[in-house]
Amino acid sequence: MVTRDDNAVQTLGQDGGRPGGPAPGPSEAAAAAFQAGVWVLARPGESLRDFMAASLGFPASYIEGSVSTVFLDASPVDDIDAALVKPGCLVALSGAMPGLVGAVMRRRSPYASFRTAISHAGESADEAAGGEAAGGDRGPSGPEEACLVRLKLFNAVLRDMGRMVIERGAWLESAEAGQAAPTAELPGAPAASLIRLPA
Amino acid sequence: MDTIVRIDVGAQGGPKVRKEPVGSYAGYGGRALTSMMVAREVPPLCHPLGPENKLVIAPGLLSGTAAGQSGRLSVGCKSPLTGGIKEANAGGQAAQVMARLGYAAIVLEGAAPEGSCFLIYVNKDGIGVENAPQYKGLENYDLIEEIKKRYGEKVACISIGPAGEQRLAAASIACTDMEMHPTRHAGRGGVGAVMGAKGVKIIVMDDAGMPMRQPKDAEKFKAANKAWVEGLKKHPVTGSGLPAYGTNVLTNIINESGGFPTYNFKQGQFDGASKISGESYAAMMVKRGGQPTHGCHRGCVIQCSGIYNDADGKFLSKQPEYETVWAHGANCGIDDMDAIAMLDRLDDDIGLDTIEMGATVAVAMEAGVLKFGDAKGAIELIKEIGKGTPLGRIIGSGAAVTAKAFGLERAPVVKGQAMPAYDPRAIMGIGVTYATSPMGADHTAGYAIATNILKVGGYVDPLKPEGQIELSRNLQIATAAIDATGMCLFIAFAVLDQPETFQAMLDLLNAFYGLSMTNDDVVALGKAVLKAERDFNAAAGFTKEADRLPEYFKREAIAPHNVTFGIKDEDLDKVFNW
Ligand code: SF4
Repeated sequence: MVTRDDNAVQTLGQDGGRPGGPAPGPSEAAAAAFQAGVWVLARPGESLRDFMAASLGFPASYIEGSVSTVFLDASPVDDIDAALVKPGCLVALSGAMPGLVGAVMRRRSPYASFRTAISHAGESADEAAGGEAAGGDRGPSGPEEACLVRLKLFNAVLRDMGRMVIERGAWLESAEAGQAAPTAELPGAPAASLIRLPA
Repeated sequence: MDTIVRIDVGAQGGPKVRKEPVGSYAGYGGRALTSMMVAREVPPLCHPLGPENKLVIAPGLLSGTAAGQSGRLSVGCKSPLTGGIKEANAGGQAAQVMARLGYAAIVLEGAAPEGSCFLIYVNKDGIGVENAPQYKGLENYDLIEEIKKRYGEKVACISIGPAGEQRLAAASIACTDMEMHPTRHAGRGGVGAVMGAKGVKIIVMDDAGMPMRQPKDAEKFKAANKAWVEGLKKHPVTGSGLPAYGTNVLTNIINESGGFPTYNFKQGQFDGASKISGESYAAMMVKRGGQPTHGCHRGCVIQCSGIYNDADGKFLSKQPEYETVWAHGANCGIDDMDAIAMLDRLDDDIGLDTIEMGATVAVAMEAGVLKFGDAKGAIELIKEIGKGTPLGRIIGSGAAVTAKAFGLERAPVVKGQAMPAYDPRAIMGIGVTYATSPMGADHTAGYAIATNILKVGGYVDPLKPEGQIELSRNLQIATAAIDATGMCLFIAFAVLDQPETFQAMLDLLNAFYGLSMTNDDVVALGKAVLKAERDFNAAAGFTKEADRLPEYFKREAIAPHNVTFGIKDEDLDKVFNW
């Protein structure tokens, strides 16, 4: 079973803005994959902030200063500490966006009322860790557990963080049989087989 | 900029040019000037294509100065599309050049004799009008090539294509950009049809020999401009997001939110969105030797535009804007970047509003005229408009007319004008603005501007659903005021987040005109403009029932959030209670 590599998180550091200065951005093919969605490892029930920091390795200051637009399962998120990752969910991360509606989508936007009908309302860690769908009474997951979630990166976040996410492990759905990666057995994994994006 | 030029195109013996001082219109620019003049001088019940309507073309208060971002041009009239008051605005070089020539407005009045095709030439020595039948029927790109041969490449042009000559309700007015391409359009509301009705094909303006407009207080103005440009450059949206990807950076985000109208507003997400995103366009532009970061006029600091080349590396169109990519892309089920750029080019060439056209082609697709996703068919359909075929004339009349012609209920319009690129069920606050704006469904009517800084209408709790009504009102007031300055609305992001940048904008106005305007004055100006516009519409026969979305937005839920438009009519009626 694949587990999270917590050491990798430590080596990238948690602070100090963009790791290693301006990133060159991922290849064209990888950029297309990130916009359509790739699969990455996460810890069931972790908050979106923890997901970005621990599972993806984003520095804390980058999360606070640059990841200003966040979606969980198509809902704009205001509180990244209250919104929790669950197996198979879809997380999309973006920089600050233009236009009234761009501003509306921003976390804690003064215009959040414009999107009340679709905004994400936080949930309990139990629900997010799998709840009934994952076997009911499992309770919050331990740090050794992993699941798969779908991740989309857009615009500046794609440019700045895409390569790092690939290095840590990002998988694409593949139509080819026999490509099944060990991740296939993790909670949240899609029915299709997965192949790892080359670094 | 203290002169208004009036051209009576129907005067005996040929068009007559009259100059007059700005008089009671002093202090107004851009939308404030066009709307005040239309409200005062155009009979609300007149036919938009009749002699009583006027076409008012006005630069902003700061156009033609050294102030960054100040080159928007406003065009106002009674709209042939909505039947109400209209202000449509455009970038390009025209506003800067007109302002430097000293004109606060050019007003086209009267009824042109049948078959007229006037060219108006403006330079430092005056204004001439001639009948120029050789330009009749030309598309905008060919027309500008002819103009270049005659006047060189340093002039700025305002023109109509065949759609305007046919007086179609979706016709736009083109303004040339820095490369003298006719790519910047006052698109909305059929303003091109009114120019066509005045028999004017093109206005050519040459500001050679005219200096930049000078401020009353040069020192203060310089300091304010420095703070202004710094503010725009340091903000993440205006400083890097927009320059890198253009407005189409929104495609991925709005699609992700489930508010990206797809297949004529049937669903809120499009499978092909990432193929036509700003990120994908930017990569393609670099690969083909285009330019992803470019301004539409001199003095643009943000540079949200770009140059899109075809597969052979030749110029095809400007970088299509978000609204265009949505309208001709997702809304029509088309995920081909080249096809969308070609549709953008055709709209610019024939002189059509890209939002109205994308919405209309999607209605035609729903009617079975062609299939969703048929890019070639969409291109041919737009070409029909240029040719003036009966089908082309229907399509060129917009989404409401096309739905009627094909017997469909599902026309996504308010006051006859097509909704832009945000589904009002998923993003209900924008639906409030679509419903209540005097302009018809319009996203820019309530653009993001610092209501929290302006404190228009007091503090609004952003998490209360009722906030949508108050916010929409406040945004509409603030937008009307900003539209008067001639500032590109994309400044809104920097002004929204940085109070000092908002102050810099006020300082620019005050230093230039020797005024001492405050927040309250800005709010009062915005309210006055909106009130004049609302009063005009009321006198033109609009009742509160016009401030509604089509019923099917309340009945048909949109995936993935499965929401309908839930704002009550009585709440919509409160938007203009101030
Ligand atoms: S930001 Fe864009 S629309 Fe505004 S003036 Fe610059 S190029 Fe034109």
